[in-house]
Amino acid sequence: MNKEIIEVKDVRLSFGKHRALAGIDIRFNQGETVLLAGKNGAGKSTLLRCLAGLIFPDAGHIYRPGIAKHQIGFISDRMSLFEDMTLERAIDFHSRVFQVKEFNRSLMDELNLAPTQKIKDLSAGERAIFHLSLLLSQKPQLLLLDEIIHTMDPYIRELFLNGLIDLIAECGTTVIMVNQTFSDTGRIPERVLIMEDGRFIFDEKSEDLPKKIKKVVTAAGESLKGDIPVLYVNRSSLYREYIVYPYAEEAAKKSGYDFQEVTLTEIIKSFIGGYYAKKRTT
Amino acid sequence: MLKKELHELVYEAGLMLGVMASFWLLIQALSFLFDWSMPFSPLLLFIIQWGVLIFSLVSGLSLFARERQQRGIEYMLTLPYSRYRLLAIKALPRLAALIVFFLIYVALASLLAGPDALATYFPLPTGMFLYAILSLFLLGVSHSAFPENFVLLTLVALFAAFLHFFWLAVFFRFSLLKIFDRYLDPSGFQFGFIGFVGILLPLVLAFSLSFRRFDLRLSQGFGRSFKKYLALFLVIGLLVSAIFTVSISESYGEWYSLTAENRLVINQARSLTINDGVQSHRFERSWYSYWLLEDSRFLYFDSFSKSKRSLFRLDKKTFQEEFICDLAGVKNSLHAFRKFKDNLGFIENWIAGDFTNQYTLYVIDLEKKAVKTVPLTGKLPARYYKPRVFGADEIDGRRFWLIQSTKVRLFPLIRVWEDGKVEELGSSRLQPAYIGHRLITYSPAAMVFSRLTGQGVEVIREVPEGKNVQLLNPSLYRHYLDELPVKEVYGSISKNIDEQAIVCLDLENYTVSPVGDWNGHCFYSAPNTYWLIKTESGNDEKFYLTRLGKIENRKITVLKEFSLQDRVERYELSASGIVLKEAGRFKFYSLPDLKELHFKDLN
Repeated sequence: MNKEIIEVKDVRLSFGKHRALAGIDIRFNQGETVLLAGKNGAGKSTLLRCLAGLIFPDAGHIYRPGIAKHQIGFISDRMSLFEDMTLERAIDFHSRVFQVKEFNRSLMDELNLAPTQKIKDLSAGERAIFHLSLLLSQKPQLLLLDEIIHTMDPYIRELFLNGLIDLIAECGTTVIMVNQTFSDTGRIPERVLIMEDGRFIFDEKSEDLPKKIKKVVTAAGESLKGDIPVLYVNRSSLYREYIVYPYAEEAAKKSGYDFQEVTLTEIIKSFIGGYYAKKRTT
Repeated sequence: MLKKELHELVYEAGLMLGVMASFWLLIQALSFLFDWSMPFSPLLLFIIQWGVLIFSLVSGLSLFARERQQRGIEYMLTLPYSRYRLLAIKALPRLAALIVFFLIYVALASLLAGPDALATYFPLPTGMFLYAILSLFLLGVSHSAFPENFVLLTLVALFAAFLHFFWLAVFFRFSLLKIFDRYLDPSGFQFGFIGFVGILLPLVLAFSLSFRRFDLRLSQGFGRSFKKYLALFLVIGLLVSAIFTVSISESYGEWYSLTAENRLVINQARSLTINDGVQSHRFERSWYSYWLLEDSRFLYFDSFSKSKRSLFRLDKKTFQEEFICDLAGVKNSLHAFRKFKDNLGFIENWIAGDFTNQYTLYVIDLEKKAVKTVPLTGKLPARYYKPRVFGADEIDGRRFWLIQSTKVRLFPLIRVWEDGKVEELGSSRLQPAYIGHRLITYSPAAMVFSRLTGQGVEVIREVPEGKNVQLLNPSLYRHYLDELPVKEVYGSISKNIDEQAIVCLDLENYTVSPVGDWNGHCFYSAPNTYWLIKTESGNDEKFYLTRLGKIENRKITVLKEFSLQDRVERYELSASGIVLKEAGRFKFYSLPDLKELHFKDLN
């Protein structure tokens, strides 16, 4: 079993009256690739910033045994860098501060980024690639990515994810990423976490997902019979899609329905949709 | 990171220099267009000083501005530095740059205007300037992480200041004048200290202690911590500064002096009281009464408001008050008077004129109660400072006044006739004097005695052994105005910092003879009256009187030795008495017999 590199204990945090984290307890292991999902305002980005040390929790503790601050990489959704710097200066700056001996320009070269360009002149995707290049050279033990993949065009996205995979393979980096589109990242995460109102409501390994969540498609207007737990119902004029969670093999057999596998995107969408449905009824 | 900061600092400093240069050019252009007379050095120094002050505040305030502007705050916080290290990396280069600017200013001021200019009050004295730089910078830093709360913090600081003054006003029973007299002197140590402890220190401490919680949620963890500490430190700071003010106020507001006849004069903000031992006579003034001067018959004081300065005198026997004249155009406190027969002479603008060379000689006829002015603008040597009248005389019915300017180890001398004629009389290496119709100056090789004629200076005698004798009759800063005939004066030759050989200068034979050594200070109080004082530092770093002596008949006599443990402070020394402060209480003694003087009706 991989060693534990982060332990989050009863972390609470508020922005004024809004409670962003409501007592988070979780552990992350070395080399783990985690997808953090949830509705807007669920506390994902806040948690990520707490893990990166950008925000101090109001209460609770975050332990990072064996990880020094220079071994943490963070790319925010704002893609924060000193954007008046040229790429060359930013590389020099980052290399000095993080004591990088050799800078890996391969990703930059793929996009033909000129060292004399200023960061502020880069497109969002180019900027993300450049930031990842900085972090790849830094060889971080923990990489935190906050909703950046959706800003990239398909080519850059592919480039970015390949770079990420290389990093994980080479350094055994723990990657925790917040993302809202899952079509491209679906192959990467080993663990999926879903947050709601500052808490985790779902924490499963990717390989277990097919066994734990299924869907049943029925005709429009047809209700699901039996005692089957439904997380979310997707209604359309042609059909109804019932997302079943937690899925139980025995109950499923008795119901006689055809249970189908669901994609990661559908899972996340269902949890978010389920949240809003619950809110409507209450 | 340091390299980046230096890079940004050079940019910001360049910007500041550019603004300062533009401002200077603008003034020059306006001067040219409108024919203003703008002196080069003071204008340049003024612009540099205010430029650096503004830069101090901006530099502190903008500690994280570049990161905010570049959307780089998040990236900055991911750098492998602790919060305090980050703060040090950001703040220390800026602080160093401010010190460099300060040193450049000092060097420039010294070069352009002379070292003496640094001690003057235009634009700001050196120590105050450095204090203002550091204060503004720290004030800026303490606001830097809180851009959205800048107005709130400023209001908090202003409220704290208001509370502080209000508390003191209550303490002083709303006698606000007493408070503001002190505070409105921005060059005073107390002003700086009270402001520092009451307002600046709480802000800086609160910022420093809460900065470990500095993160993206400025108004949350960091902000809450900041406000909590600020509230605590403001309360403590206000209390400490108020206690400090009360403690110093003990000696403030009243000034005790003894006249030549050992009458007690109590100089207060709005009154002057004279006590002859039997009864008190109090003279109320509408505004300040200031500066005690006396001659054998009168006590002189000036009274000034914002609009007017007037000269009065009190008859020491009858206690009759007499208005002498209004002194139109006099803005500075009256300083370094010389009396010649019934005339008082002094230089106006002796402080602020240093840079502008705009001076006026005032001559007040005490009998006719008339004021005559002799404009001296441009007639005194340029870039010399603090011109003072040090002598006066008349030849063939024409009166002249002798004026010395000052620079380190050089005193240019001029003679101003009351008809406006100005003559240069050369210069003196040490403080000159004019005693018994004889001008005493110093050449590199000798003390030089001269006689002033209608045409110029005639050297009477050069005395090489007197070349290092500093006369104890400098004709400056003294209270007693009458000129009495003297046959000899005393002087000192410095041996060490606090040790000097006392010598006697025979004015008839022009000889210098040793009197003895004195480890302490010598005071000239009135013609033929010399007192010697020795003080030592106590454990509390205050100076206490340990020995009192006098010089008479070419001999040093010790009048009394004091134990350091007695904690006796010398408060004021006059022609025939001394005011001491013993265990916080004022006591009055005549000299040289040291008999205690008692004044009825004295609280």
